[in-house]
This record gives sequence, structure tokens and C-alpha cells, in this order.
Amino acid sequence: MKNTVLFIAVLLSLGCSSSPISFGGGGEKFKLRPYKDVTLKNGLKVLLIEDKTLPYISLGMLIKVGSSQDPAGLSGLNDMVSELLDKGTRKHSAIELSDQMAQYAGDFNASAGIDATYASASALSFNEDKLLGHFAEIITEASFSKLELERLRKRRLAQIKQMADDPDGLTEVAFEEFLYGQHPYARPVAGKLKDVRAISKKHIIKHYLQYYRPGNAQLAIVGTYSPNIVEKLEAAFAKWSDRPVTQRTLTGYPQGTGRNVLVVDKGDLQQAQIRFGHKGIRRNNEDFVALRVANAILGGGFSSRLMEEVRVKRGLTYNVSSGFDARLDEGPFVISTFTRPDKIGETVKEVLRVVAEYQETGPTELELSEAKALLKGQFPRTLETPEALASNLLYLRFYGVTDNYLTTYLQEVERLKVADLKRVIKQHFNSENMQILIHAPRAKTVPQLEGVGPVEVVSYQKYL
Amino acid sequence: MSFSKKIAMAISLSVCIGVQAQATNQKDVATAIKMKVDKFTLDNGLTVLLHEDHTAPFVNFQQWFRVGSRHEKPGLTGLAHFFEHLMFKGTNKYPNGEFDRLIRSNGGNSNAFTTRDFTGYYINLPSAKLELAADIESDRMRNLIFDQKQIDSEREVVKEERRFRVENEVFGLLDEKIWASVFKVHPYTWPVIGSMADLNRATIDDMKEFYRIYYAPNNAIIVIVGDFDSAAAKKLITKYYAGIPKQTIPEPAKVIEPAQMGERRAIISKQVQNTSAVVAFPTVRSGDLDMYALDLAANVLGGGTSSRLYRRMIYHQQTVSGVSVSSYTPEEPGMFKVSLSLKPGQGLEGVLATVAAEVHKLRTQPITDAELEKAKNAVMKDYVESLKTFSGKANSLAVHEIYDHDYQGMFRDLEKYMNVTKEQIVAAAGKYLKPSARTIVSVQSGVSASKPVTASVTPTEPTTGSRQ
Repeated sequence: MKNTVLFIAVLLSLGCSSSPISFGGGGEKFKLRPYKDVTLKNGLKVLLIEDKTLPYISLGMLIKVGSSQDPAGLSGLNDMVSELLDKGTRKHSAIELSDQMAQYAGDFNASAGIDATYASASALSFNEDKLLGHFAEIITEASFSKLELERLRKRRLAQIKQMADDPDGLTEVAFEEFLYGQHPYARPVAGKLKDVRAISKKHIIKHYLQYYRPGNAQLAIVGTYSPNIVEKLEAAFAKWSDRPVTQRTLTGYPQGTGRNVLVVDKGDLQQAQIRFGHKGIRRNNEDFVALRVANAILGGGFSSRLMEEVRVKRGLTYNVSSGFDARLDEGPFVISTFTRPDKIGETVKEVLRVVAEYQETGPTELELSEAKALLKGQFPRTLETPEALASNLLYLRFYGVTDNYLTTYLQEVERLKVADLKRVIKQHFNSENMQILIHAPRAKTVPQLEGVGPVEVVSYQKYL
Repeated sequence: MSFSKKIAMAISLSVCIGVQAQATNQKDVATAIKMKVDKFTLDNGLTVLLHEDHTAPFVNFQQWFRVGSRHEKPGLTGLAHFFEHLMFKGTNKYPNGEFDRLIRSNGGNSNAFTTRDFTGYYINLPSAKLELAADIESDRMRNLIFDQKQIDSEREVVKEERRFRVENEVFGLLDEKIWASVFKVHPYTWPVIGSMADLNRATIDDMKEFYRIYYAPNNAIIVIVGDFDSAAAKKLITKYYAGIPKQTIPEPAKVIEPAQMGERRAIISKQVQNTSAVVAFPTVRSGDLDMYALDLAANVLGGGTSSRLYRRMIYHQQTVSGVSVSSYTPEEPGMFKVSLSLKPGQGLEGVLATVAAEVHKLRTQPITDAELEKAKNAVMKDYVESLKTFSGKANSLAVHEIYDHDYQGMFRDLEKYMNVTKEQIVAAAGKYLKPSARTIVSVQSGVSASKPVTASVTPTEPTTGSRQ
């Protein structure tokens, strides 16, 4: 017992990095909140951010496993594992857990992503002990009962079918498959009907035991918590043992050439969902910040080129935006918009024209300075709450980006010149290679696409 | 006999302990959420609320007007929201969308939203740029210019927004239909985003008239939360706003929705994978004493995985894939509603019977002490959650000021929730959730609807139609 306490104390003094960093100049007075890092005995890294302004405590855990690690033919597996975590443990049934946590307004939520899974829980501070106990129990002692698996499977199958009535959701899933083909990023997070039917309890337990390990996760504690919180965490996670986890291999974006159009047909749609995309970047790409600025000028919010041309000047849409979805492996660059069915051709051609023009001319000095101001101004708002800082740090570390990113970001943005942007635009934007997906009634769509590129038509049912 | 008595004693004992512990915590929370607010009113009637918070280096500037879709006339539905879009078009000082560019080049962002009762505009800017927000907002409160070409182009944008939120969205269709069915006379009956026909009809003169009447300082409130100095902010507000004259705001006709005398039903026929439905009951306005009990009742029925409807329908019967319950109490009497997403192949009647049985139970049988405590804890936590950001604080202040001309209501609310008894919850359910006051709307495949239904409109929840 005494040993444990001593050990923690040593870790604390070694592992803590307190970082109050401030930025001078330009009227910016942004200051990163102080935070600390400790490592528990079982190898679990813990980030602590104290915030005493309100009486709450929240926990966030990033587990380094995502839907891209679902085995082929078993899409939806990682999502089901995360969804089943709080549906029963060795100590409590799903109903008992749900009742106990609801009684003190303790929330638990697990969200499965493409690269990683994020589990979070929160409560008012005076329920700290209960929340810690429940959170650790859910993460480390989930029991995955057959009954709960079947219950979830039925619900998932229903939800996947219902996607047919959600044009935006279906388009997202179809677009990933269109862009990525055989790459694991093509697999939908929630899975396909036939895959979800094939998932067994064995698959679930194997996946859980393989990836839910302290060395494969990071925890953040935020809010008003006890001074001996680390001691409490040691006790709560004491039985969670580490085991080496095989790291994934990254194969890169599947190269395609030229422009291709896929029409995902559904006859009764009153509005077309449209996506444009091509190869983007990994999150640890050194041009990440330059590309963010370059993208802000093209399609980041009001006053961006796409918004001005497509929405404001032509009234073709309510929203159009672009972005680099930077991931562990090469994520896509995507432009999203929607329009009425008789304006599909005009919208597609206008978006392509704007991108092509941007590739050719690059940004103006004025656009660059506006975009810099926008991103610098946004930065403190993005990190407004300590929970936002916590999840940012956990994701950055997961992607192999150092915490320095947050402390140097403002200078990195400021430093950029028009020439830097021209270079990254040339390298990473390509209207000629754009893969275009249109979810709309085929009969109205196809005749408008003359000259855009080869068109293939499939039914929306392919993506369920 | 003696056995059950013992149990009863044990329960009452634990309840006492529970209540006591909660009282202390509740006080802590009530103290923690109390914030210092500086309120003042200019001679032209503009109300201003200031709250300094220096935890992050920016300011959240909100300017809300006491005008929403309920102030519109039939035939011009959607005008308040359409007009909200025009507020970003320009003035002589800042023409042609210069607002957006200026805010962007100063590191800020801005947007707006329209509800049935009010319209809110907000700008986030770095701390040092507070004056820019006051400049822009005061300028467009009186100097907006109207351009036919811009209006026509923006009309298409708004129609696209309508297709996105309503025509292409099952719950958008349902939401539009439930408001139109629960309210037959009150202006809440029409959708915030308006009908396509009315959007096509609105003219530049309608816009000018709407602006002249409602966009006046005595019909507005300003809330600023964030990293600024209150004394300096007061000077800025006075500098930019004191010269704007007040207007005579017409008092809208007091329309009272006649009591519903029997169940209403409406069906939207559409090719869908599964049936979705909303069951609703007319209730009370914001701040009504029954509002607190109804909010807690909504939590007992549908708040989280341990609630009655979730447990019975999603967990045990497995007939629906989603259920949510909300009590929406706007400025004038609103509604209590249960939204249901049925599993493919499930028939509606069986699901409705379960909802009816649970509602009946809530109206006729006492809820447990544990349920009451759980609901109150959830409310308390939501309160704390909503105050984590500058915009959350500002919204909370603004809503209370708009509805009750008294922002301090937000500090009293918590206590009012905590004082609600089990009996009051059952009584409120008994009073409002009557079968004869029920309205059921659904979207289903292959039903021959009595009349051809085309998508009619409204965004999902209380608010609607934001510009972005």
C-alpha cells in the first residue's frame, strides 16, 4: 500500500509538465491552460486539467482503435464494441448500470470514429467517486452478454436501413466507399447490413481484448476534482493489465486518375447532395497549417470563394464548404454542398471552376491576411473549454503531433506567405482529379453532367 | 403486514438522507452558477446585459430582437427568417456583405437564428475588437439597404435551406406537421422557415416594412459575455446606440388557441424505410409554474436510457430505434411531445398504445422518489453544462430577458425545479397530457392520406432556420 503511494508521488514529480504559455504581439493574449501528465502503474497515460469555475468533473478516454481496424467483412465491429461497453459488466447488468448512473446524472458515451474511439463521462463534482468507479468498470470489465449483443444488432440493422431516408448520412458513407475502394477507410463506421449480421460474440471479445489496453489508450480528467485524484485512478484502473498491441500499417490513399462521377440514385429526393474529393493528407503532414489557411480561403465559412460564388452570387445552395479531413493515413480533401435537382450541373461546374481558378491564381495578399486573422481568432474559441483542450491534446498525441502544435500555432499561421500557399495548393489541390458523388434522382441528374467526366450510376441500396 | 411496514420505513429513511445530501449539493450548484451581471437601459429603450469572464481572450456579442415568425401575417410566413438573412447584406457604411468580410478579417465569426418568438444575431471577436461588434450591429439596426437582386438571390438560398431542413428530412416534415396540427389559430401554426409559396411571394416592400417596425432599439436586447471591461463597454454601447430613435412597436393581437376537444391525427405519406411519429399535447408558456413539473415529467418519461419509455420501448419491446421526449415552452403556450422512430416493419398502433399506457401511468400513479431525484439531478447537471461557454451564458441570459424581461429568472429556475414535488408532476401530467388533447402525426409509406401531402416545413427544435 505504502509502496503504491510512493510510486505515484515519484511519477507525479517526473511526469508533470505544467505549461502556461502566452503569446505576445498582435493584440493576441491567448494563454494555454496549465495541464499535467502522469502515467499510471499499468502504463495508462493521464492528462489532468483543473477547472474550478464550475462544479463538474469529466473524463475522456481515447482508445487507439477505429473502424478502419474492423476486419474485412466485419465492418461495424469496432462501433458495436464501443456501444456495448456500458451494456453490462462483470459486476452489473446493463439495466443496473444505467439506473445507477442516471441517479446522479452521470453520463457515459462512447463514440467510434474512423481512426480512434473516444469514451467520455461526466457528472457534478460531488459524484466524483461514483463516476470514476463506473467509468473504470465500463472500460475494463465490460461483459458483452449475448443478449445485449443481439439487442444492439437489431437496433443497428434498423438504423442502417433508416439511413436510406437520410440523404446527408447516406452520401457520407457512399463517398468514403467511392474514394477508398479496398482501403479500410471505405468501411462505414456503423457497418453494412451483411457485416453486422455476421459479427459474433467471439469477434467482439477478441477485438476488445486486443485493443482495450492501458498502453493503447490515453485518459483525460477535467474539472473540479480531488487533490488525490491520481491515487483514486490507480485504484480504479489497478486490474487493467497492459499487453502489446500490434500497430496498423498505413497503405496510403488509393491512387486514381482523372475525374469520375458517381450518381447514387434515389427517385424521390427533392434536393441533391453533392461531394467532391481527392487525396488529402495525414494529420502529421508538415504542411497541415498551411493547408488549413489555404482551405479557409477556398471554402472555410462566409466570405470564402466557394461561399461567395456558389451561395451568395448564384443562390445555388444554402451551404458549401471544403476541408482536409486529415487522418492517421491519408484522409480526403472534400467539398460538400447541396442544391435543387435542376441546378446540379451548374453547381458541379461552378465548384470545379472555382477550384481550378484557385489552383491557377493562388490567394491574394488580402485573402491571406484575412484567412490568417480568421484562424488566429478562431483558435482561442476552439480551446474555450478545458474539455476541448483535453480532446485536442489527446488527438494530437494520437496522431503523432507534439503538444507544441498548440503553443506555436499562432506563429505558424502568422509566418505564412503567399508563396507558401501557392506551393501547397499546387501540391494538394487538383480539380482535374476530383471524384464527384451526386445523391439524387438519376433521370434528372445524368443529362446535366455532360463534359464533367465518366458517369456511373448505382442504387442507394448498395450502401446499406 | 409488518414486513411491508419495515420496507416502507427503510425507504423513508433513505429518502430523508438522500434529500438532505441533495439540498447541500443543490446549494453549492446554485451558488456556483450565480454570475455577476450588469444590466442597464438606454433612453431609447435598448436593454443591455454585461457579464465579464476573463477565462478566454474573446467576447461574445449578442443582439436579439423581440420578433419571430409569430409576428408574421398569414401569406407572408417565413418573413422573419428570410429577413434575418438580409441583415448580412449591407448598409451604406458596410455594403455588399462587407460585414462578413470585416468580421473575418478581424478574427471573428458571426451568425444568426430565428425562432417563433425572437431573432438572435451573434458575433464572436477577439477581446480588443469589441467596438467593431457594436459598430456593425448598431449600423445594421437602422441603416440596412435593400437591393432587389440580392433579395432574389437570397430567396433561392432560403428555399434551398427549406429543402435541406424539411423536404429532404423526415423529422423536418414531422415537425412542420405537428405545429400545424396542434395549433389551428395561433401563429405558432406556421413554420418558422415559411412555405415555399410565401417565400416566393415576399417583396422588397414587405422586407422594408418588417425592418421598420421591428428592428428598433426598444425591441432589442444586447448581451455581452467575455473578456472586456464593463465600464468601457457601457461607453461603447452609448456611443453607438444612443442616437438610434425608438419606434412604436405594435402589440400583436393576443391570439389564444382554443382548447382542443378531441384527438387529432395527420399522416404524411412518403416512401420511407420505417414509420416515424410525434405525439404532442398543448401546454404552457415559459415561466409558468407547471413548466417546471412538465420538464421533470419529460425527463421521467424519456430522459436517458433509464427513463420509462426508453426502457420499455427500446430496451424491452425493441419496437423503436429512437424515442425522445421534450417539453417546449416558448413565449406563448407550447407543447409536450414524444418523438418516435419505429423499427422497419413495426406497425404504428402498437407503439402508440405503449406511449398511451405510459402517459396514462404518469397521470394516474405516483412517480418514485428515485425518479424524482434523478430528474432533478439531470436538470441541475444540464444547468451547469449550459454555462461552460460564453455563448451558453449569453444565450441563457438573453432567453430569460426576452421571455420575462428579467434575466435573474435563470438563477431562480434551479430552485423552482428543486421544489417540485412528486404530486405536482403527476398533477401536471394529469392536467395536460389528456387523451382528448393528444395530436398524433406520422410519416409512413403506402398510406393513402386523405389529401395529397407535399412536404410542408420547419427545422427540428425550438430554434430554426439559422443562417448557416
